[in-house]
Amino acid sequence: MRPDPTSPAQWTAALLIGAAAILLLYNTLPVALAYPRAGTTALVLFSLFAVPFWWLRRRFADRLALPAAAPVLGLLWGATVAVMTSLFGSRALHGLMATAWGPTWAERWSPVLAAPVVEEVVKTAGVVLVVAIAWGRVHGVLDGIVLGAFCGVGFQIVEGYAFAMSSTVLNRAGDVVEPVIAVFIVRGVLAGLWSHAVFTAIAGAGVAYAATRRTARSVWVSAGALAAVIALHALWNSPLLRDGLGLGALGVLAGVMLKGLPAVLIVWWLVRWAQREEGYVPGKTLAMVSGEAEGPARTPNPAEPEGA
Amino acid sequence: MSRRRSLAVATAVAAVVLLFALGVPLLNKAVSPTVDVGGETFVLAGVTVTAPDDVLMRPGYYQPGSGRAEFLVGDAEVDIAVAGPYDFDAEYLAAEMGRLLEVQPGVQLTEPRECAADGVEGAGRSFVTETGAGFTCAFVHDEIRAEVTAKGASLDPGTVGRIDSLIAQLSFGAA
Repeated sequence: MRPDPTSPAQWTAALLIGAAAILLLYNTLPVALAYPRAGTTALVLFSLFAVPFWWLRRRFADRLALPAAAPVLGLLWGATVAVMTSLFGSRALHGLMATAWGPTWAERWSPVLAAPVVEEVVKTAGVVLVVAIAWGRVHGVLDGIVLGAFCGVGFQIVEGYAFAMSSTVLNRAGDVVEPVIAVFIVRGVLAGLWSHAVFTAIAGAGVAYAATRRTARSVWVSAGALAAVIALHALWNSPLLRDGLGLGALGVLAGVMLKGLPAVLIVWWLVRWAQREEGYVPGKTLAMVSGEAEGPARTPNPAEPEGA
Repeated sequence: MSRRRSLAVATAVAAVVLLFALGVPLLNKAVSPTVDVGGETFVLAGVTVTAPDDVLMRPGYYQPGSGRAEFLVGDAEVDIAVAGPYDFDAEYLAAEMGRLLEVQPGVQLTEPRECAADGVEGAGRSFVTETGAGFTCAFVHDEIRAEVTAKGASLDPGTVGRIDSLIAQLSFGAA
Protein backbone atom coordinates (compact mmCIF):
# COMPACT_ATOMS: atom_id res chain seq x y z
CA MET A 1 0.00 0.00 0.00
CA ARG A 2 2.16 2.84 -1.33
CA PRO A 3 1.20 6.48 -1.91
CA ASP A 4 -0.23 6.73 -5.42
CA PRO A 5 -0.85 10.27 -6.72
CA THR A 6 -3.25 8.90 -9.35
CA SER A 7 -5.51 7.10 -6.84
CA PRO A 8 -8.82 8.93 -6.26
CA ALA A 9 -9.42 6.86 -3.12
CA GLN A 10 -6.09 7.93 -1.62
CA TRP A 11 -6.71 11.59 -2.46
CA THR A 12 -10.18 11.41 -0.91
CA ALA A 13 -8.82 9.85 2.27
CA ALA A 14 -5.99 12.41 2.52
CA LEU A 15 -8.22 15.44 1.90
CA LEU A 16 -11.06 14.37 4.21
CA ILE A 17 -8.72 13.27 7.02
CA GLY A 18 -6.70 16.50 6.66
CA ALA A 19 -9.78 18.75 6.71
CA ALA A 20 -11.37 16.88 9.61
CA ALA A 21 -8.10 16.93 11.58
CA ILE A 22 -7.97 20.73 11.30
CA LEU A 23 -11.59 21.00 12.49
CA LEU A 24 -10.89 18.56 15.31
CA LEU A 25 -7.86 20.54 16.49
CA TYR A 26 -9.81 23.79 16.24
CA ASN A 27 -12.49 22.28 18.50
CA THR A 28 -10.29 20.48 21.02
CA LEU A 29 -7.04 22.44 21.30
CA PRO A 30 -8.43 25.44 23.26
CA VAL A 31 -9.88 23.13 25.92
CA ALA A 32 -6.62 21.16 26.09
CA LEU A 33 -4.69 24.42 26.56
CA ALA A 34 -7.08 25.64 29.24
CA TYR A 35 -6.93 22.33 31.12
CA PRO A 36 -3.46 20.90 30.32
CA ARG A 37 -3.28 18.38 33.17
CA ALA A 38 -6.76 16.99 32.51
CA GLY A 39 -6.11 16.99 28.76
CA THR A 40 -2.85 15.07 29.00
CA THR A 41 -4.39 12.53 31.39
CA ALA A 42 -7.38 12.02 29.10
CA LEU A 43 -5.21 11.62 26.03
CA VAL A 44 -2.94 9.05 27.70
CA LEU A 45 -5.80 7.06 29.25
CA PHE A 46 -7.99 6.89 26.16
CA SER A 47 -5.05 6.19 23.85
CA LEU A 48 -4.61 2.97 25.82
CA PHE A 49 -7.64 1.68 23.90
CA ALA A 50 -5.38 1.12 20.91
CA VAL A 51 -3.00 -1.21 22.79
CA PRO A 52 -5.20 -4.34 23.03
CA PHE A 53 -6.23 -3.94 19.40
CA TRP A 54 -2.63 -3.64 18.23
CA TRP A 55 -1.87 -6.77 20.27
CA LEU A 56 -4.87 -8.46 18.60
CA ARG A 57 -3.52 -7.55 15.18
CA ARG A 58 -0.18 -9.13 16.04
CA ARG A 59 -1.97 -12.19 17.44
CA PHE A 60 -3.72 -12.78 14.09
CA ALA A 61 -0.80 -11.56 11.94
CA ASP A 62 -0.50 -14.85 10.06
CA ARG A 63 -4.15 -14.63 9.02
CA LEU A 64 -4.11 -10.97 7.94
CA ALA A 65 -3.06 -9.76 4.52
CA LEU A 66 -3.74 -6.03 5.04
CA PRO A 67 -0.52 -4.01 5.41
CA ALA A 68 0.08 -2.24 8.73
CA ALA A 69 -0.69 1.13 7.12
CA ALA A 70 -4.33 0.09 6.54
CA PRO A 71 -5.42 -0.15 10.19
CA VAL A 72 -3.47 3.06 10.90
CA LEU A 73 -5.41 4.79 8.12
CA GLY A 74 -8.63 3.32 9.51
CA LEU A 75 -7.75 4.63 12.97
CA LEU A 76 -7.07 8.12 11.56
CA TRP A 77 -10.39 8.07 9.68
CA GLY A 78 -12.27 7.04 12.81
CA ALA A 79 -10.50 9.67 14.93
CA THR A 80 -11.04 12.57 12.54
CA VAL A 81 -13.57 12.27 9.70
CA ALA A 82 -15.97 9.97 11.54
CA VAL A 83 -15.89 12.05 14.73
CA MET A 84 -16.34 15.46 13.08
CA THR A 85 -18.98 14.28 10.60
CA SER A 86 -20.91 12.60 13.40
CA LEU A 87 -20.71 15.76 15.48
CA PHE A 88 -22.29 17.90 12.75
CA GLY A 89 -24.68 15.25 11.43
CA SER A 90 -26.01 14.03 14.79
CA ARG A 91 -26.52 17.59 16.03
CA ALA A 92 -28.46 18.50 12.89
CA LEU A 93 -30.60 15.36 13.07
CA HIS A 94 -31.31 16.24 16.70
CA GLY A 95 -32.51 19.65 15.48
CA LEU A 96 -34.74 18.08 12.83
CA MET A 97 -36.26 15.73 15.40
CA ALA A 98 -36.83 18.62 17.79
CA THR A 99 -38.64 20.49 15.03
CA ALA A 100 -40.80 17.49 14.22
CA TRP A 101 -41.51 16.03 17.66
CA GLY A 102 -40.42 18.59 20.23
CA PRO A 103 -37.21 19.22 22.19
CA THR A 104 -37.88 16.79 25.06
CA TRP A 105 -38.59 13.90 22.69
CA ALA A 106 -35.54 14.77 20.59
CA GLU A 107 -33.25 14.95 23.61
CA ARG A 108 -34.38 11.47 24.70
CA TRP A 109 -34.45 9.73 21.34
CA SER A 110 -31.83 11.36 19.12
CA PRO A 111 -29.01 9.35 20.80
CA VAL A 112 -30.99 6.22 19.87
CA LEU A 113 -32.23 7.11 16.39
CA ALA A 114 -29.77 9.67 15.01
CA ALA A 115 -26.28 9.10 16.42
CA PRO A 116 -26.02 5.35 15.62
CA VAL A 117 -27.01 5.92 11.98
CA VAL A 118 -24.56 8.76 11.38
CA GLU A 119 -21.66 7.27 13.33
CA GLU A 120 -21.87 3.73 11.99
CA VAL A 121 -22.43 4.77 8.38
CA VAL A 122 -19.47 7.19 8.39
CA LYS A 123 -17.13 4.74 10.14
CA THR A 124 -18.12 2.00 7.68
CA ALA A 125 -17.55 4.41 4.79
CA GLY A 126 -14.00 4.78 6.07
CA VAL A 127 -13.55 1.01 6.10
CA VAL A 128 -14.81 0.85 2.50
CA LEU A 129 -12.36 3.58 1.47
CA VAL A 130 -9.38 1.85 3.11
CA VAL A 131 -10.37 -1.47 1.52
CA ALA A 132 -10.49 0.31 -1.85
CA ILE A 133 -7.02 1.76 -1.21
CA ALA A 134 -5.65 -1.63 -0.16
CA TRP A 135 -7.57 -3.48 -2.87
CA GLY A 136 -6.11 -6.93 -3.49
CA ARG A 137 -4.61 -7.07 0.00
CA VAL A 138 -7.80 -8.20 1.75
CA HIS A 139 -7.53 -11.91 2.53
CA GLY A 140 -10.84 -12.38 4.29
CA VAL A 141 -13.30 -11.39 6.99
CA LEU A 142 -10.60 -11.23 9.68
CA ASP A 143 -8.91 -8.39 7.78
CA GLY A 144 -12.19 -6.50 7.84
CA ILE A 145 -12.72 -7.17 11.54
CA VAL A 146 -9.28 -5.80 12.43
CA LEU A 147 -9.61 -2.82 10.08
CA GLY A 148 -13.08 -2.02 11.41
CA ALA A 149 -11.89 -2.38 15.00
CA PHE A 150 -9.09 0.12 14.40
CA CYS A 151 -11.47 2.57 12.73
CA GLY A 152 -13.81 2.19 15.72
CA VAL A 153 -11.02 2.52 18.25
CA GLY A 154 -9.90 5.78 16.62
CA PHE A 155 -13.43 7.09 17.06
CA GLN A 156 -13.54 5.75 20.60
CA ILE A 157 -10.27 7.44 21.62
CA VAL A 158 -11.39 10.89 20.44
CA GLU A 159 -14.96 10.48 21.69
CA GLY A 160 -13.72 9.32 25.10
CA TYR A 161 -11.25 12.21 25.23
CA ALA A 162 -14.00 14.67 24.27
CA PHE A 163 -16.39 13.31 26.92
CA ALA A 164 -13.65 13.49 29.57
CA MET A 165 -12.74 17.07 28.68
CA SER A 166 -16.39 18.06 28.45
CA SER A 167 -16.89 16.63 31.93
CA THR A 168 -13.86 18.61 33.18
CA VAL A 169 -15.21 21.83 31.68
CA LEU A 170 -18.74 21.22 32.98
CA ASN A 171 -17.31 20.44 36.41
CA ARG A 172 -15.98 24.04 36.54
CA ALA A 173 -13.56 23.10 39.32
CA GLY A 174 -10.24 23.90 37.67
CA ASP A 175 -7.62 21.77 35.93
CA VAL A 176 -8.27 18.58 37.90
CA VAL A 177 -8.11 14.95 36.74
CA GLU A 178 -10.95 13.44 38.83
CA PRO A 179 -13.65 14.00 36.16
CA VAL A 180 -11.33 12.49 33.53
CA ILE A 181 -10.74 9.37 35.62
CA ALA A 182 -14.46 9.06 36.39
CA VAL A 183 -15.30 9.23 32.68
CA PHE A 184 -12.52 6.74 31.88
CA ILE A 185 -13.91 4.25 34.41
CA VAL A 186 -17.41 4.55 32.97
CA ARG A 187 -16.66 4.86 29.25
CA GLY A 188 -13.32 3.09 29.15
CA VAL A 189 -13.56 0.26 31.66
CA LEU A 190 -17.30 -0.45 32.03
CA ALA A 191 -18.41 0.45 28.51
CA GLY A 192 -15.12 0.27 26.62
CA LEU A 193 -15.23 -3.32 25.47
CA TRP A 194 -18.56 -3.15 23.66
CA SER A 195 -18.31 0.24 22.12
CA HIS A 196 -17.27 1.62 18.73
CA ALA A 197 -14.40 -0.79 18.10
CA VAL A 198 -16.70 -3.80 18.37
CA PHE A 199 -19.50 -2.23 16.34
CA THR A 200 -17.21 -1.22 13.47
CA ALA A 201 -15.47 -4.61 13.59
CA ILE A 202 -18.83 -6.21 12.68
CA ALA A 203 -19.43 -3.71 9.87
CA GLY A 204 -15.82 -4.22 8.73
CA ALA A 205 -16.38 -7.97 8.58
CA GLY A 206 -19.30 -7.32 6.23
CA VAL A 207 -17.24 -5.02 4.01
CA ALA A 208 -14.38 -7.53 3.80
CA TYR A 209 -16.85 -10.34 3.07
CA ALA A 210 -18.26 -8.36 0.14
CA ALA A 211 -14.77 -7.35 -1.06
CA THR A 212 -13.47 -10.91 -1.12
CA ARG A 213 -16.58 -12.79 -2.28
CA ARG A 214 -17.81 -10.18 -4.76
CA THR A 215 -21.29 -11.61 -5.16
CA ALA A 216 -24.66 -9.89 -4.95
CA ARG A 217 -25.40 -11.98 -1.86
CA SER A 218 -22.20 -10.81 -0.16
CA VAL A 219 -23.17 -7.18 -0.76
CA TRP A 220 -26.49 -7.84 0.96
CA VAL A 221 -24.65 -9.56 3.81
CA SER A 222 -22.48 -6.45 4.12
CA ALA A 223 -25.51 -4.14 4.16
CA GLY A 224 -27.13 -6.44 6.74
CA ALA A 225 -24.03 -6.23 8.93
CA LEU A 226 -24.22 -2.42 8.84
CA ALA A 227 -27.94 -2.48 9.66
CA ALA A 228 -27.30 -4.90 12.53
CA VAL A 229 -24.56 -2.67 13.91
CA ILE A 230 -26.84 0.38 13.78
CA ALA A 231 -29.47 -1.61 15.68
CA LEU A 232 -26.92 -2.79 18.29
CA HIS A 233 -25.63 0.76 18.70
CA ALA A 234 -29.20 2.07 19.09
CA LEU A 235 -29.85 -0.61 21.74
CA TRP A 236 -26.66 0.43 23.53
CA ASN A 237 -27.67 4.12 23.51
CA SER A 238 -31.28 3.42 24.48
CA PRO A 239 -32.60 4.20 27.95
CA LEU A 240 -33.53 0.50 28.25
CA LEU A 241 -32.19 -1.02 31.51
CA ARG A 242 -30.29 2.20 32.25
CA ASP A 243 -31.84 2.37 35.72
CA GLY A 244 -30.77 -1.22 36.45
CA LEU A 245 -34.43 -2.12 37.12
CA GLY A 246 -34.07 -0.45 40.51
CA LEU A 247 -31.48 -3.00 41.68
CA GLY A 248 -28.72 -0.46 42.31
CA ALA A 249 -25.17 -0.55 40.94
CA LEU A 250 -25.26 -4.30 40.28
CA GLY A 251 -28.47 -3.89 38.29
CA VAL A 252 -26.93 -1.09 36.23
CA LEU A 253 -23.85 -3.24 35.58
CA ALA A 254 -26.06 -6.16 34.54
CA GLY A 255 -27.95 -3.84 32.22
CA VAL A 256 -24.70 -2.63 30.64
CA MET A 257 -23.61 -6.23 30.07
CA LEU A 258 -26.97 -7.32 28.66
CA LYS A 259 -26.97 -4.44 26.18
CA GLY A 260 -23.30 -4.72 25.25
CA LEU A 261 -22.64 -8.44 25.20
CA PRO A 262 -24.51 -9.30 21.96
CA ALA A 263 -22.04 -7.24 19.88
CA VAL A 264 -19.02 -8.80 21.60
CA LEU A 265 -20.43 -12.31 21.08
CA ILE A 266 -21.05 -11.59 17.40
CA VAL A 267 -17.41 -10.47 16.94
CA TRP A 268 -16.17 -13.51 18.86
CA TRP A 269 -18.28 -15.78 16.61
CA LEU A 270 -17.08 -13.96 13.46
CA VAL A 271 -13.42 -14.36 14.47
CA ARG A 272 -13.95 -18.09 15.13
CA TRP A 273 -15.81 -18.47 11.82
CA ALA A 274 -13.09 -16.62 9.90
CA GLN A 275 -10.34 -18.71 11.51
CA ARG A 276 -12.21 -21.91 10.59
CA GLU A 277 -13.29 -20.96 7.07
CA GLU A 278 -10.53 -18.75 5.74
CA GLY A 279 -7.32 -20.11 7.19
CA TYR A 280 -3.87 -18.60 6.95
CA VAL A 281 -2.68 -16.13 4.35
CA PRO A 282 -0.74 -18.26 1.86
CA GLY A 283 3.01 -17.83 2.36
CA LYS A 284 2.50 -15.43 5.31
CA THR A 285 3.73 -17.78 8.05
CA LEU A 286 6.88 -18.55 6.09
CA ALA A 287 7.35 -14.87 5.28
CA MET A 288 6.99 -13.94 8.95
CA VAL A 289 9.59 -16.51 9.97
CA SER A 290 11.96 -15.08 7.38
CA GLY A 291 11.28 -11.56 8.71
CA GLU A 292 9.02 -10.06 6.01
CA ALA A 293 6.42 -7.83 7.56
CA GLU A 294 3.71 -7.84 4.94
CA GLY A 295 2.01 -10.73 3.25
CA PRO A 296 0.98 -11.25 -0.32
CA ALA A 297 -2.38 -10.60 -1.86
CA ARG A 298 -5.24 -12.94 -1.15
CA THR A 299 -5.17 -16.21 -2.96
CA PRO A 300 -8.68 -16.94 -4.12
CA ASN A 301 -10.50 -19.64 -2.23
CA PRO A 302 -11.37 -22.36 -4.76
CA ALA A 303 -14.75 -22.81 -3.10
CA GLU A 304 -15.68 -19.18 -3.77
CA PRO A 305 -15.13 -18.07 -7.32
CA GLU A 306 -13.63 -14.59 -7.67
CA GLY A 307 -15.70 -12.09 -9.61
CA ALA A 308 -18.79 -14.26 -9.46
CA MET B 1 -8.76 -1.84 -8.39
CA SER B 2 -9.20 0.11 -11.62
CA ARG B 3 -9.01 3.92 -11.48
CA ARG B 4 -12.65 4.21 -12.53
CA ARG B 5 -13.77 1.93 -9.72
CA SER B 6 -11.52 3.74 -7.24
CA LEU B 7 -13.10 7.01 -8.35
CA ALA B 8 -16.59 5.55 -7.89
CA VAL B 9 -15.80 4.37 -4.35
CA ALA B 10 -14.11 7.68 -3.47
CA THR B 11 -17.11 9.64 -4.79
CA ALA B 12 -19.58 7.50 -2.86
CA VAL B 13 -17.61 7.82 0.38
CA ALA B 14 -17.16 11.59 -0.03
CA ALA B 15 -20.90 11.90 -0.76
CA VAL B 16 -21.79 10.08 2.47
CA VAL B 17 -19.46 12.33 4.48
CA LEU B 18 -20.75 15.52 2.85
CA LEU B 19 -24.36 14.40 3.29
CA PHE B 20 -23.97 14.19 7.06
CA ALA B 21 -21.43 17.00 7.52
CA LEU B 22 -23.10 19.58 5.27
CA GLY B 23 -26.36 18.31 3.78
CA VAL B 24 -28.24 17.43 6.95
CA PRO B 25 -27.10 20.58 8.83
CA LEU B 26 -28.24 22.75 5.88
CA LEU B 27 -31.58 20.92 5.76
CA ASN B 28 -31.95 21.47 9.50
CA LYS B 29 -31.35 25.20 9.07
CA ALA B 30 -33.82 25.33 6.20
CA VAL B 31 -36.69 23.50 7.89
CA SER B 32 -36.11 24.51 11.51
CA PRO B 33 -36.83 28.23 11.49
CA THR B 34 -36.41 30.25 14.63
CA VAL B 35 -39.62 30.63 16.62
CA ASP B 36 -40.67 33.48 18.89
CA VAL B 37 -40.63 32.15 22.45
CA GLY B 38 -41.49 35.46 24.12
CA GLY B 39 -43.52 34.78 27.27
CA GLU B 40 -42.65 31.07 27.36
CA THR B 41 -41.08 29.59 30.48
CA PHE B 42 -38.19 27.14 30.27
CA VAL B 43 -37.11 24.85 33.08
CA LEU B 44 -33.39 24.12 33.26
CA ALA B 45 -32.34 21.76 36.07
CA GLY B 46 -34.64 23.47 38.56
CA VAL B 47 -33.97 27.02 37.39
CA THR B 48 -36.72 28.69 35.39
CA VAL B 49 -36.37 31.41 32.81
CA THR B 50 -39.23 33.22 31.13
CA ALA B 51 -38.25 34.71 27.80
CA PRO B 52 -39.14 38.39 27.33
CA ASP B 53 -40.86 39.53 24.14
CA ASP B 54 -39.08 39.14 20.80
CA VAL B 55 -36.72 36.44 22.03
CA LEU B 56 -36.25 33.66 19.46
CA MET B 57 -35.07 30.07 19.60
CA ARG B 58 -34.37 27.14 17.28
CA PRO B 59 -36.30 24.00 18.29
CA GLY B 60 -33.23 21.82 18.93
CA TYR B 61 -31.60 24.36 21.20
CA TYR B 62 -33.72 23.71 24.29
CA GLN B 63 -32.33 20.65 26.08
CA PRO B 64 -34.11 20.44 29.42
CA GLY B 65 -32.39 17.16 30.40
CA SER B 66 -28.97 18.76 29.96
CA GLY B 67 -30.01 22.04 31.57
CA ARG B 68 -29.17 24.01 28.45
CA ALA B 69 -30.99 26.48 26.24
CA GLU B 70 -29.82 28.85 23.54
CA PHE B 71 -31.82 31.95 22.73
CA LEU B 72 -31.50 34.49 19.97
CA VAL B 73 -31.82 38.12 21.09
CA GLY B 74 -31.46 40.37 18.07
CA ASP B 75 -28.29 39.16 16.38
CA ALA B 76 -26.84 37.80 19.61
CA GLU B 77 -26.76 34.16 20.72
CA VAL B 78 -27.41 33.72 24.42
CA ASP B 79 -26.47 30.33 25.83
CA ILE B 80 -27.72 29.41 29.30
CA ALA B 81 -26.40 26.31 31.09
CA VAL B 82 -27.58 25.21 34.53
CA ALA B 83 -26.07 22.41 36.61
CA GLY B 84 -25.43 21.36 40.17
CA PRO B 85 -24.29 20.68 42.80
CA TYR B 86 -21.54 23.29 42.74
CA ASP B 87 -19.30 24.09 45.69
CA PHE B 88 -17.65 27.31 44.53
CA ASP B 89 -18.92 30.88 44.37
CA ALA B 90 -19.92 33.01 41.39
CA GLU B 91 -16.54 34.77 41.19
CA TYR B 92 -14.75 31.44 40.88
CA LEU B 93 -17.26 30.23 38.31
CA ALA B 94 -16.78 33.43 36.28
CA ALA B 95 -13.01 32.90 36.37
CA GLU B 96 -13.47 29.31 35.17
CA MET B 97 -15.65 30.50 32.29
CA GLY B 98 -12.97 33.08 31.46
CA ARG B 99 -10.24 30.40 31.53
CA LEU B 100 -11.86 28.63 28.60
CA LEU B 101 -12.72 31.82 26.73
CA GLU B 102 -9.25 33.33 26.77
CA VAL B 103 -7.69 30.33 25.01
CA GLN B 104 -10.24 30.47 22.18
CA PRO B 105 -8.65 31.80 18.98
CA GLY B 106 -9.19 35.55 18.66
CA VAL B 107 -10.96 36.01 21.98
CA GLN B 108 -9.75 38.65 24.43
CA LEU B 109 -11.23 39.18 27.90
CA THR B 110 -11.92 42.80 28.79
CA GLU B 111 -13.49 44.38 31.88
CA PRO B 112 -15.63 42.72 34.58
CA ARG B 113 -19.36 43.44 34.40
CA GLU B 114 -22.29 43.30 36.80
CA CYS B 115 -24.90 40.60 36.36
CA ALA B 116 -28.21 40.19 38.13
CA ALA B 117 -30.68 37.33 37.95
CA ASP B 118 -34.00 37.23 39.81
CA GLY B 119 -32.81 37.95 43.38
CA VAL B 120 -29.29 36.60 42.82
CA GLU B 121 -26.20 38.68 42.14
CA GLY B 122 -23.65 37.21 39.77
CA ALA B 123 -20.19 37.89 38.40
CA GLY B 124 -19.37 38.54 34.79
CA ARG B 125 -16.73 39.41 32.24
CA SER B 126 -16.92 41.08 28.86
CA PHE B 127 -14.88 39.93 25.91
CA VAL B 128 -14.19 40.81 22.31
CA THR B 129 -13.71 38.40 19.44
CA GLU B 130 -12.30 38.87 15.95
CA THR B 131 -15.82 39.23 14.60
CA GLY B 132 -17.74 40.78 17.46
CA ALA B 133 -18.17 40.99 21.20
CA GLY B 134 -19.83 39.22 24.10
CA PHE B 135 -20.02 38.75 27.83
CA THR B 136 -20.45 36.03 30.40
CA CYS B 137 -22.43 35.94 33.61
CA ALA B 138 -22.04 33.39 36.40
CA PHE B 139 -24.54 32.75 39.21
CA VAL B 140 -24.40 30.33 42.12
CA HIS B 141 -27.32 29.85 44.49
CA ASP B 142 -27.97 26.91 46.83
CA GLU B 143 -25.25 24.86 45.11
CA ILE B 144 -26.94 25.37 41.72
CA ARG B 145 -24.93 27.23 39.14
CA ALA B 146 -26.14 29.04 36.05
CA GLU B 147 -23.84 30.23 33.29
CA VAL B 148 -24.85 32.71 30.64
CA THR B 149 -22.71 33.39 27.57
CA ALA B 150 -23.86 36.05 25.13
CA LYS B 151 -22.07 36.86 21.92
CA GLY B 152 -22.82 38.52 18.64
CA ALA B 153 -21.43 40.45 15.73
CA SER B 154 -22.36 43.73 17.34
CA LEU B 155 -23.74 44.02 20.86
CA ASP B 156 -25.35 47.43 20.78
CA PRO B 157 -26.72 48.89 24.06
CA GLY B 158 -30.28 47.98 23.07
CA THR B 159 -29.41 44.33 22.53
CA VAL B 160 -27.37 44.21 25.74
CA GLY B 161 -30.34 45.65 27.61
CA ARG B 162 -32.65 42.96 26.20
CA ILE B 163 -30.14 40.23 27.12
CA ASP B 164 -29.94 41.65 30.66
CA SER B 165 -33.75 41.48 30.79
CA LEU B 166 -33.58 37.81 29.83
CA ILE B 167 -30.93 37.17 32.49
CA ALA B 168 -33.06 39.01 35.06
CA GLN B 169 -35.76 36.38 34.42
CA LEU B 170 -33.50 33.57 35.67
CA SER B 171 -35.24 32.35 38.81
CA PHE B 172 -33.59 30.00 41.30
CA GLY B 173 -36.89 29.22 43.02
CA ALA B 174 -36.42 30.17 46.66
CA ALA B 175 -34.04 33.03 45.89
